[in-house]
Amino acid sequence: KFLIRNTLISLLKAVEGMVTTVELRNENAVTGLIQNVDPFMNIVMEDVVFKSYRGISHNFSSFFVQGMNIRYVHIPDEIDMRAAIDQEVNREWRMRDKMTREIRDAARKRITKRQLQADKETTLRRRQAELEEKKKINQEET
Amino acid sequence: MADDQEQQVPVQNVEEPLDLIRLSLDERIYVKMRNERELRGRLNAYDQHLNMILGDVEETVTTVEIDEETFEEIYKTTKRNIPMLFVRGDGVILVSPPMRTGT
Repeated sequence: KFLIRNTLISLLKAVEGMVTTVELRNENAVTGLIQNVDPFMNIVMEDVVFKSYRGISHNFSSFFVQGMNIRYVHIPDEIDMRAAIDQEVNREWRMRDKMTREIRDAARKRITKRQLQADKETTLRRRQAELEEKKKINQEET
Repeated sequence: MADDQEQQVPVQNVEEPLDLIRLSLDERIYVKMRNERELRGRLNAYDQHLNMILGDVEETVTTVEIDEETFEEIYKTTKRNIPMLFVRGDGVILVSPPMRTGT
């Protein structure tokens, strides 16, 4: 998922599961059900109609388009792109907020852990010092 | 990107060329593409590769036909309207506000 963060491909994933048209750089068009979009914009489609620029149609049960060969992807009317964009932007902000919060919490935990260690050591030293004192007193008495 | 702020930034700092495109978000723009294509539409989203999502676009394809006898060049344009389109960035040459009003 890291590869598609901060690019529009994550928005293109919204088209997965819908029937739409993909226009290629070589003027051919493929219409069918989009099964999967990967971070390189490669698209796997099902039950497609391949229309060549000469107007000849072929049918294929499955079809793979390399991302580099795509010129356009039509986005069906059913998708509300504005809402999808807002969702993605909010997700970005939320992820970023979550990450900064996690980093801050981890840093705080590390600081408290270090402090706890330091406190433990000082108490240990104090107790050792006390033990030494007691031993000396005992020795003096006997 | 240059400014990493957690709150929403109302004032937009223009620091690099892509920021200029950010100024045109949600406005109508003109995109010139490879293979003599032009798009006019509303910019909904873009990214650093210049992949774009355009709404209400009109695509204009310009072809030159040369008459065999007179050898004159005939420029033909074909227009298409598409409600919502995802454009792959490697086909984009330039992005600009629409030329009729200009900024």
